Amino acid sequence: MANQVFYFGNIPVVLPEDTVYSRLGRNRFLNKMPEAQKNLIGKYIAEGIALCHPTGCWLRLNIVERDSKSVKLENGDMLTSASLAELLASSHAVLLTASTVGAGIVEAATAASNAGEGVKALVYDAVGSEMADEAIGWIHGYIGQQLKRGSEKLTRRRFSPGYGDLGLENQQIIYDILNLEKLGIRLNDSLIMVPEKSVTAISGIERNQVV
Amino acid sequence: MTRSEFQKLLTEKIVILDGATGTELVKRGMPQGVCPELWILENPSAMIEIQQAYRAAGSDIVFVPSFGANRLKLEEFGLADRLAEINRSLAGLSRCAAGDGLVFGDLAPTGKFIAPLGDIPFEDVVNVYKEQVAALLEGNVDGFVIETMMDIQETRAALLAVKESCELPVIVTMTFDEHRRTLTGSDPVSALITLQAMGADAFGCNCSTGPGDMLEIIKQIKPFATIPLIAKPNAGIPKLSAGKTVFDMCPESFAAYVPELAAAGINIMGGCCGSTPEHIRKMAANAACCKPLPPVIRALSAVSSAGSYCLLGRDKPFAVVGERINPTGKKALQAELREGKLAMVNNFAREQAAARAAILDVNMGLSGIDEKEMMLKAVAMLGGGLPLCIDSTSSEVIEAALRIYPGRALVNSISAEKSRLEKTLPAAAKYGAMFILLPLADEGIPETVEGRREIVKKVFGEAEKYGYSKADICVDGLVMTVSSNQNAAAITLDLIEWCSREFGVSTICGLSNVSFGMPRRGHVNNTFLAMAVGRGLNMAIANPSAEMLMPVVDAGNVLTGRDFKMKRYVEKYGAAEQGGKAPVVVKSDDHPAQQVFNCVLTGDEESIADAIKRTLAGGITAKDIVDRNLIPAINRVGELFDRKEYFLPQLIMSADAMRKGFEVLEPLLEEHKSENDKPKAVIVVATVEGDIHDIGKNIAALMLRNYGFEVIDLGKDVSARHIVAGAKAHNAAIIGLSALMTTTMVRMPEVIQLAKAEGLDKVKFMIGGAVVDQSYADEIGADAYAADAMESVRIAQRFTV
Repeated sequence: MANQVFYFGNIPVVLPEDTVYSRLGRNRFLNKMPEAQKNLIGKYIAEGIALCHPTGCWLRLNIVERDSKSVKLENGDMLTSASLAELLASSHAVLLTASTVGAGIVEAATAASNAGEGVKALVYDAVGSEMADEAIGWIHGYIGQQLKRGSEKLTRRRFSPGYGDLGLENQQIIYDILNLEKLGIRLNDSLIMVPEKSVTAISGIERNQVV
Repeated sequence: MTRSEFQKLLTEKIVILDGATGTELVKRGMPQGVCPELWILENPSAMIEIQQAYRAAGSDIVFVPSFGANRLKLEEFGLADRLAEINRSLAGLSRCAAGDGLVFGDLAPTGKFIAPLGDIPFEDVVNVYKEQVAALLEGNVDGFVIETMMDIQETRAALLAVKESCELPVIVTMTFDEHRRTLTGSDPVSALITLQAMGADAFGCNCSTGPGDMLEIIKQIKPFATIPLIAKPNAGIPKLSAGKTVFDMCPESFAAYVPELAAAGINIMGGCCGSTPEHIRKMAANAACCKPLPPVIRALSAVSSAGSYCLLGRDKPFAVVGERINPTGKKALQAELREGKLAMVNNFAREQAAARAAILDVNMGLSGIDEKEMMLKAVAMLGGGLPLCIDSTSSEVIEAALRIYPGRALVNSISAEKSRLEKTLPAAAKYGAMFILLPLADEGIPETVEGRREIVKKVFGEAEKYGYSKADICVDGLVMTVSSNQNAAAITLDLIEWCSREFGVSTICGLSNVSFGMPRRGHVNNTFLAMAVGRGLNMAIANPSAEMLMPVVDAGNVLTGRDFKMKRYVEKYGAAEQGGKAPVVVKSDDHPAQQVFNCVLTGDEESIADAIKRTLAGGITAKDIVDRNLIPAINRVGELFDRKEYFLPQLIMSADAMRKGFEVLEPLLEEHKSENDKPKAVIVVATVEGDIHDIGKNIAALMLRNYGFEVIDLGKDVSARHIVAGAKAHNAAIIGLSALMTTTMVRMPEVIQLAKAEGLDKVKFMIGGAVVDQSYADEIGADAYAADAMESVRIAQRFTV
């Protein structure tokens, strides 16, 4: 797997409705919903999915130096975080990934919100978030399969800038390395990705001895 | 070996493949991180030993270890310029090891994705595989295996590369996850339909799962297979043990599945990850006691896409081919296509799928546009949804679309016209497409049924020469408009009946043609549809959203026996009927005031105005409706939300219903307003500077409005100065601030400090957002933290008492 950024133009995300309901806060054991409400939310979920255009990218970089609080990558960038360093303790390389579902869903959610269609806005928002998560999950699934052939595996967890002690300033590093402009993403002054339904992640690549 | 010799072998015995190569190479010292293909050539004895062991164990076929020897994979190791030599030498090595056994050249994923998922064009990948195929042919292989494929489009590219390079047998296996989907979303049946139509000599699965899970996949696909099936499972499911991946299924347990696999219809079997020569030895021994089960069908009437399929036929449910993706008569779509856009095409696809179309017709015929380019764009966009019907008068457009379509398409259409028979028919055959047979010739449309029958027979005769069977076609009844010839419908119906009952093929028609030029066309269309269904019609090109069309189709399926035990009909319409009888929250026999309460409780915006009007007509005052029905109802909703029996969307729906109710009551309440009534409290809300997330703030604003507050929403990314100015201008009682990021929550205290400095001492501050909490509110001097929209309402009510 070479050190170049690979881009996906149209990730085949399959979004289970349950994940959207979970994000919306539905307790499936306690919640009761009349058929009409269920149909309406189902309709908005389907519309939301159609408004999403999941794209993404990935890059593998070797770890060249490390200590308990930071990890230095082969391109010279340093990721500073004790939790991340711990996650990557057994890793010899990192996988940087990003996904976005584009601006359409965010614009539609805003339009719905402005029109006073709160449920539609809320469902669109949840669908956008879940689709972006599923898209990055798909990339990780794909890379996991590829790594298996080379007796490697991904760490079970992944980190994103803003989690724990991995500061949001790392977003700029990932943005630059992955050239996320190519996916239509920009970073604002607060280091927030625009469109907002975009996700980045860092995972470790470990050796996987097969018996 | 010829394809027919290979097929003959499969009738004689269950053919045994080899087992795992990678894990065996590691056992023999192959280090991690090297190019396996090069390492094998540098250490040939290891590979020879492995393959000889598999042959001795009973493998009839060994795979050349050329799994990663395509240009794109070799480039990763800087070895692309040695591609021909590597593949040729690897084939030679296997030939040497296999003795008199068969040697199949191995094609596997390139590691890249084809557009639109990736950025590599389909044709480039075909060429990548062709280059490898040519080198393996030089190495004198007996056939090809395309294995461990994760993407149907890449699999098609590899299959085309083999088919366009030689006449040798080619077998294909894909890898399916625990949800029985490939990585790019194909299910086993769709993949089978696509690949067997394109000429794969056998299809199946390898890797990912053990023999038990694979058995279930084989059972699922066997009824649809016209070709032999393959299973090459792992030696169990990999488990982590002391940091190592272990395949722990012993040879005996592995081979114990052989009788079941054979009974399920497996014709070719072997082992994948974790399997050893001993696994294969036990497998071969058990397989020798089993008889191969040939395919149960010779032809399959079905179309597929990358992720779905549709079974067709006179005994299958009626299939509606959605007609909407066609610019004829659609000015807005024409304008969009002229701009090169496909948003409306996407919407039509979604709407027709929701309306239960089985297949989508795609026609991009429009003067002034590049039809081929737009067709390719549309096919690339829609290829993962419902199966497509490629509709064009240009054979060039049809062939280009079929080449990149990731499924088995339906071609619309092939007639007895010379150009169709000479160009479109061979193209459709090459890609295994089904086609609509149009009974017209260069001379025109025969006016009699007999004339049309002759054309049907002629075109089918030509199609048979390309391997087509009656299951692979459907005849267009060629509906002419009855407004110009009232006998037109009768001719079509006669042809449909003859095709269906005597000739034995599916029939289809462009339904709406029959009513052209007539008023209330739906009446004519639906009546004609019912008549045609009675004569045997089993497909129609129509708008599935047209009034009463789908109910006629559903009822037709019942009356013609295509809906077995009426299951689908009862499922669709029985529930609706039961719903009418079952207790519902808003009942017409409830007192209107109770209905008002229930409308809020169930978020029924549509009924509430009517219920309120009837309550008012019954002599109850507006104020009483508010106090006794609306407020108690929304309070009840709040309780249900707190108890998690309701979730946020329901809360909003109820609040929306309440707002609708207030809209009716407000003029009446105004009339009786007293001087003592307080004006609405004003709340200014904003997402702080630098933050673009506003859904939480928007929902809180909506709820606050519905609970009677006047909300001034300043939007997102709003500066402290602007928020304070807004609060001043509107004499706000409360300022609500939202932030979702740690980098932007620090703007909240700036707003509070500025407000204090500007003398807004009486204004209360309420904050919310994913990264803030009560302790942060306390720390920055905010008056309250609202965890959700409902809590923001309660806090606001408390602050404004």
